[in-house]
Amino acid sequence: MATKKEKIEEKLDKESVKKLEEFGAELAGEIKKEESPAFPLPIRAKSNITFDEAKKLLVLGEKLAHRRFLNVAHTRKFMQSVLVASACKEYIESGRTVGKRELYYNLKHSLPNSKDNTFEDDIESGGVLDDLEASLDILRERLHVEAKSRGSIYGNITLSQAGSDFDCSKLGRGGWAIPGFVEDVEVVNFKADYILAVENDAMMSRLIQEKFWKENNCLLVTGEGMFPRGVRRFIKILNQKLKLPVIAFVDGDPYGFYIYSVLKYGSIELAHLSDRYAVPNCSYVGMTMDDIDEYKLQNVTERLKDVDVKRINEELEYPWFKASKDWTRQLKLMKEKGVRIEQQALASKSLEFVAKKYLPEKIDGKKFLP
Amino acid sequence: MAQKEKQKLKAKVEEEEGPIKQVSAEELFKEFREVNVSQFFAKNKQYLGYVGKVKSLTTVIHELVTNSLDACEEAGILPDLKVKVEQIGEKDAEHYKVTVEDNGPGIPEANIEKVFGQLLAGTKFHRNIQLRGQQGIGASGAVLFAQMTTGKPTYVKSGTGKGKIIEIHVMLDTKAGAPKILDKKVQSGEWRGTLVSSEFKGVQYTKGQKGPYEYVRWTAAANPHTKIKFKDPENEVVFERVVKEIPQRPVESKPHPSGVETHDLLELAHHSTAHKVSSFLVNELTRVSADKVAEIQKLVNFDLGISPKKIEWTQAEQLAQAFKKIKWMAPPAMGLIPIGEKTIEKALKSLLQPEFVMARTREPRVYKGGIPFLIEVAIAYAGNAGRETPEGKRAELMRFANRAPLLFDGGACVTTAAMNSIEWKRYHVQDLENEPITIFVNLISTHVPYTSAGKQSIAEEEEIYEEIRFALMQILRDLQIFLGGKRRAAEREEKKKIFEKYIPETAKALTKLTGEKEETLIKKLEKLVYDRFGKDFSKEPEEEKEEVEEGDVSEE
Repeated sequence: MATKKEKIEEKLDKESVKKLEEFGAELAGEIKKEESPAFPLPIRAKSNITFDEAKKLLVLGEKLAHRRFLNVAHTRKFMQSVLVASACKEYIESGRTVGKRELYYNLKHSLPNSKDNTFEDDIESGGVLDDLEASLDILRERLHVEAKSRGSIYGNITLSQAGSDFDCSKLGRGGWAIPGFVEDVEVVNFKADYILAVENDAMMSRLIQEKFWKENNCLLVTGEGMFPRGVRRFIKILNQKLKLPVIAFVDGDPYGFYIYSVLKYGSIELAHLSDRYAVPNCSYVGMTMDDIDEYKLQNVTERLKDVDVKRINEELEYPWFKASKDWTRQLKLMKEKGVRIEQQALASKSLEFVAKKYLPEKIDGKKFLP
Repeated sequence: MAQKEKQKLKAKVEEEEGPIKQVSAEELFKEFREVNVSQFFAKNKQYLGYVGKVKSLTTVIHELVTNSLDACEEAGILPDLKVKVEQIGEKDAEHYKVTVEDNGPGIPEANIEKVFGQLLAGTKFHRNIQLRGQQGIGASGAVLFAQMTTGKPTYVKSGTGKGKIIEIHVMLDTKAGAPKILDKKVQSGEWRGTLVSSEFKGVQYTKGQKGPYEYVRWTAAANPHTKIKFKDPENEVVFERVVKEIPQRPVESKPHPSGVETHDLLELAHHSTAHKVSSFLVNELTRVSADKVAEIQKLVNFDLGISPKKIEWTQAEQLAQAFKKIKWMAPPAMGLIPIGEKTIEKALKSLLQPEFVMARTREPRVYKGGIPFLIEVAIAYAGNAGRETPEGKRAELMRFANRAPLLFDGGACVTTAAMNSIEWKRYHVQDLENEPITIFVNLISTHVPYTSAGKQSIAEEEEIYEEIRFALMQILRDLQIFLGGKRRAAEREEKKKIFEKYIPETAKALTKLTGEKEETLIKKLEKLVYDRFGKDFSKEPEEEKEEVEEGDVSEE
């Protein structure tokens, strides 16, 4: 088994190296012909994103930008792109995988005769990596750069990675930290009816302590805020392979709503990878604007700030929210009430309220938003 | 003082003491010559420029250089000047020897003593003519200053090129107000020119602003038909001749009615030899014809047949007012000889090697008093333009009156006011004070309205002020275009540097990726950049097509 897997890996690595070399050869060819070197790049901005109603996914449009060496606005990023490409080739060939921040430090050095560095921060290197991924249509994991690991899983599931198995129900209060690269994680066995994706890690901790996962036969996953790529990919794999439905539990504010939409439809930034990440059949349990009256949480809401209202207005224009009566209603209601409600506001009732009453009541009653 | 206040004051004084008769400098000096000349000099030396250690030395050079240039030009000779400043004794002895030599016509034996040994013996006094010096105190003033500070006579050597060379040591007999010749040598020889050599104490040589070097440099700028060899205690500099034409000789001209004020008229009338006011007007003013006299007669309530000596203030006032109602032909500009736009540009190019230079010579105008004038303005930018300071280049305002440098009292000068009235930023001159810019202003007039007897700054006559402004603005429209181009070139240079910065790293990475030769990639990339932006900026490159950078939406 292992050798077969290794063979697949080897094949994938060869493909990656080939793509990188072709990318370089094309640019070098242009330079040798004294043509301005440039490479195409799908535009990853709202202007080039469409919402595929049938697939329920954010889809990247056809619009291409060109990154040109002979353009002052591009030349730095052009250099960074070929620098990252050449480094990735080395990582693959030497059989190493680096972290996003490691990549930054590995490639950061000062430019000849200049005070400037190749990269000034890991946001720069991260952005270029995203670009390269989109331009070459290749996953960063295949370039041997791991996504940042953040978030964890807890529940009745035994996983296996790098030759060791671990039971995610026996990890104390913490859970298993989901790595940035999850393609090689295998499920040994599991016992669960659904996955509850939780925004806040403190809420995750509450639900573990209350043994919510055991009493309700589910897996708990958190992304500690916005779900990172590794977590999203992992949820997607579990959703597809184990046929487990995904239920999202996030804050009742425009940011929580957006986190949910990214989980469900994909993100603008990674629209080119939506079908690898998005879980279109995901549903939403809370927090909703109706919960405020339903559970009498009026005195634990927080007033909306101007930026919040601005964000609500933006989201009202997003096609995936616009297409849904329910979500349009939620957003408008939030504006009307002028308040937002956090997951942890439920603690005002009692600490166990969320695990013993709120969630079971809503999930059993299938009181979901689409 | 405002004109109104002056008039008021005048009227008040007249009420008490009778009409003020303007006292001319001639009369002033006549009186003084009878008293002790050195006393007079001592009392008035600040007006004559002999105040301050630096300024005194510059004044000496000014007087001698001015005399040489005027003499050469009047004789139709292209001036070749040698100016030498030597230090005598220790550095802090403040003791210098100044020698100025020209290739001019020389001074006839009969005149030489008076030129150097008697105040006010000049040939230019009160002629309505455009000349550098006007009071004839120049050379003899320097002689007096030398003997007062060192007790030594001045050495003069003069040859007319006709076989005789005269050498004298001359002083002023301050009691007699007459020249005193200490020794005199006459020998035969064909040498032509004048050489004056004097020692001074209590003066200071500086190469900086307002010193003799700057004086000579400015003289060269406004007198490009002159070659000046300048030697100071450290160096020798030659300001080469740039043009070979001797400036045309100016001719005397009369005041123009459109600018004549009541008191000018009154003075002119009282000094006139004409028998009738009508003939006085025709004779003493320019552009007054018999027809114009008839027009004037209709506008005044007295008979123009009376003697001009008899007209009074109110009548003169009527005349002045009548003049303003009549349409006059412009004054003849024969008395005004500009340097000329081309010549100034050549001069500044040679002197400053600027990247931009442009000169404008305006048409003649008159300012009050009917005095014709014209303005010449030039701007030189970059190269060696601007004033050199330890902190870098500063703006330099070169002021001239009839080609003679005005080094002192710039703050009170109309040129400074006109310069400051302009909104330089509108013309891409972002920070005038700190730009490598030389602004050249030359006022040409038969009578320069100095603010004081020091003759170092020009009074703020409205017409002069406006002319300078107009000329400056004319040039600035072109400078603006130039600076716009320069800015674009700088931007291109900036862009080129950005690309150059990223070439090595890009080539290195591509080499790793493809195995291509790094050097080849570097060369080709450099060629791409230089083809686009040029190694130098002699030609405008094709316009760069900027593409919108892809969005930077960050969701994770």
